[in-house]
Amino acid sequence: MNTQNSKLITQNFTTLGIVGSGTMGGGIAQIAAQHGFSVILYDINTEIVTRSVGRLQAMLDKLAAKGKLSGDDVAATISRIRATATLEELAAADFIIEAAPEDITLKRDIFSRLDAACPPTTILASNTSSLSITILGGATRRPAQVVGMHFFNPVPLMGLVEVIVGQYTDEETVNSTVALAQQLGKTAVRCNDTPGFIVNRVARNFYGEALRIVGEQGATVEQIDQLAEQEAGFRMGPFRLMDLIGIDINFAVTQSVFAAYFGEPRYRPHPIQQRMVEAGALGRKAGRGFYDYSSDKEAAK
Amino acid sequence: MNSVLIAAPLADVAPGTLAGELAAACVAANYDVTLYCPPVASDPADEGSIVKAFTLLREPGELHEPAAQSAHYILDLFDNGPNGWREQKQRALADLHRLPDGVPLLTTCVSGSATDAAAMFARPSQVIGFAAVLPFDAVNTIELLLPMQGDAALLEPARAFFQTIGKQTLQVADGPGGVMPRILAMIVNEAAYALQEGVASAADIDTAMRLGANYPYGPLAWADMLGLDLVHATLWALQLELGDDRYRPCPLLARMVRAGLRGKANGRGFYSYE
Ligand SMILES: NC(=O)c1ccc[n+]([C@@H]2O[C@H](COP(=O)([O-])OP(=O)(O)OC[C@H]3O[C@@H](n4cnc5c(N)ncnc54)[C@H](O)[C@@H]3O)[C@@H](O)[C@H]2O)c1
Repeated sequence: MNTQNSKLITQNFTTLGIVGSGTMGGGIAQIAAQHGFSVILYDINTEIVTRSVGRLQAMLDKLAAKGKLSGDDVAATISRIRATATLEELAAADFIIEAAPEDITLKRDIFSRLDAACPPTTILASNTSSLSITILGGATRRPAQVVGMHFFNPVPLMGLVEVIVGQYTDEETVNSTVALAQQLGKTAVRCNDTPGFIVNRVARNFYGEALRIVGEQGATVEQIDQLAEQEAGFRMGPFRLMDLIGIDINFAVTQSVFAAYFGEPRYRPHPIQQRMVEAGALGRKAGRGFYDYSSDKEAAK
Repeated sequence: MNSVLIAAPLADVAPGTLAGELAAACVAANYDVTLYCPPVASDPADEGSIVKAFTLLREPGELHEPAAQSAHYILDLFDNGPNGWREQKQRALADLHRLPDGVPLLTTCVSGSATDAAAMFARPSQVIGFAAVLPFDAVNTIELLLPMQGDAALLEPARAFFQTIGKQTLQVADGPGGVMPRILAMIVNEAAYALQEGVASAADIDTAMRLGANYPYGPLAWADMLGLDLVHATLWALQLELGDDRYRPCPLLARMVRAGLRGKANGRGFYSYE
């Protein structure tokens, strides 16, 4: 069924709780506050969460300097974000998005603590890119109200949210989550709880097949990037993109999907990836990947 | 005026297909275009309006005619996938050796290797493979594949020809689907598996890939443009050539092809275009 046309029975949310104030949590807090939501932003200690709010302030100031926001908007946006290092304060939120590190034990623990702290109707969402929503739901007494809300990095710029439907997630939770994503200015797609969801799964062979062709000496890295961009119209060829994402991150996603499907050959990682990761050639961030960035100051940042 | 002979199944000479778009590009580049469409099973009931723009040869005997004998380039758009297309091509093009020697024969390699295609012709050293994805308008670079029996000296006239219709070329190693048709076939196959497994709807899969990974088209809509039969044949050819299970075509895709769903070409694919 088309997500956009489905009849929505949805709750209306005003206060979002966010767990983890890093890259993703911070980005989600920013867009939520910019779209008029009150935000309770939680991290493990006051110092981290205060630093995160400082980063958001600096980001918004930059937008204001470029004329994309007024000074009043910046002040109003920041005033809607309340920082805390006490998990129980999230009980005041009516929808919670977890964006803590990608570790199943840690996330299960967070979900069970949120379950104990929050009213039984509060929806608990996870921004996980690879863990099962059904498993996270199993750490709570409310699996029907546990859902995935997979944003993409950088959150303010990427228009997609994958709404992940766990085995026990109920329809009202899904519809409310889709509606919330839309209120945050995103396009939502519905996706069942399966390894890699949609994007991280379907994209695997953009990289994997390109690596195999290089391994077979079918074409060079540069040639494949050129063809991807100039023949097929991709914004960035697979190797330039792996360098940007981080070859280690990309390799980890491939390994996780490969393992989750018990060795399905379509997801088989390639020795070139492993060799580069172990050699520390991780892409732009390392100054070296499929291309050399050692003279590129922008990339080294 | 230079002339081009295009060999293709008649039904494929339509807007949006590689054969149709190449024929149109040749006309736009002021080539004198002759179509050679020997009868095959998939022929449409009537020849349609598109072929009115060209000289149309339907029988092998007509290859003796000046329109064929004077060709500077031969473009062969008969696919040679393992789904029966290879045998069809072999039958249909058995008489192409009546054409003058030394003329580059540029053959499509989307669903088979150039080496495999060259092996069908009486003069394999005349063959240069090429591969490209669609939509043709957006393609700036076309892949050239040299068959093992081929003559590298013909790569230059092949490059020069594509240059005259506004396309750059890049030589890659020989193999079914070259580089991009192969990669794209694998992406489409994965999207088809995701659809078959109920991961998400076709529309949501496509939206996710456009917005979450910046793809120019959703993979399922793209498959409809490329032709489901062609994508399926590419995967099958890769599976046979490389002997690796990772290329096995998704059963849903195979069933759609079996049911006659070709994508945009006949209005029915992952989406309906009626
Ligand atoms: N970075 C991406 O590109 C991206 C994209 C989509 C989804 N994700 C997912 O988002 C989640 C967060 O990723 P990130 O890149 O923002 O990571 P990050 O490291 O930038 O941020 C994680 C934050 O969580 C905090 N944290 C650590 N332990 C915690 C705990 N026990 N409780 C609460 N907070 C804790 C850390 O202090 C840190 O601020 C992960 O699940 C990741 O898979 C990341």
